[in-house]
Amino acid sequence: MQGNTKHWLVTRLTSLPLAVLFIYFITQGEYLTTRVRMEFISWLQKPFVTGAALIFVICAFWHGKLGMDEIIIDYVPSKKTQAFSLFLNKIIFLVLGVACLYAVYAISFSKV
Amino acid sequence: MPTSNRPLSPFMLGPHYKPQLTSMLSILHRLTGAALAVGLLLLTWFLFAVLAGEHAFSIFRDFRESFIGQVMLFGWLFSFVYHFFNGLRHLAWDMVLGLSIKATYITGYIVVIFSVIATVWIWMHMGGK
Repeated sequence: MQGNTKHWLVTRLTSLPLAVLFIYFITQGEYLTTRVRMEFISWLQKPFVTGAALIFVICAFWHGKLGMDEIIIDYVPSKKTQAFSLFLNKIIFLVLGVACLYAVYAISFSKV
Repeated sequence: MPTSNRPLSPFMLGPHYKPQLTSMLSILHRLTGAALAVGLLLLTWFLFAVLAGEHAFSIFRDFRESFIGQVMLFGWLFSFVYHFFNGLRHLAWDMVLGLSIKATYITGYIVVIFSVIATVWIWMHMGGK
């Protein structure tokens, strides 16, 4: 599959879980906005919620990276600056995404 | 024309193109997408604040409950809701549905109305905390 086709397809594929999880997380609003840390932790530690959060993080950071790619390609005209911006974009989303995956994992599987 | 003077693509803003609902909703999809991407930074902060302990969590909570935090959270919620509804519109277009000019206007207005109502409803439902 060509690069641009894959880019287009992955943007759509990651959007589907995000759309479903968006609705799910709205129904969980009281836990997401709780003022009590332990209440959030015990909610996140439920297996279904842990799974949902991990899928959300993967899809959100991947989808965000692809979207920012589009914006960079459209608005950064110089090829050199564009290539560097795309590289930086990839690194930032990768590092933050992996960090968030770790955080969800660490919160869910530890006895905090 | 020298390369540096050419209008950037897409040049939908400025003197070259008349503002209309379709182009404005298109640029709003990008703006809300970029806002959501920035919001992922705050999501990262939130998760690590939870992980770090009560003190770190209370610092995040104080920020979230501050005026600027509430404005950002409301903006992030609106961005998510709009990007969600307009994203469904994009998925329909990908399946070759609703591509006529009339249909894009009708679904465009629906997306705007739904986004405003849903944002306010969710904000009130979640207690705006």
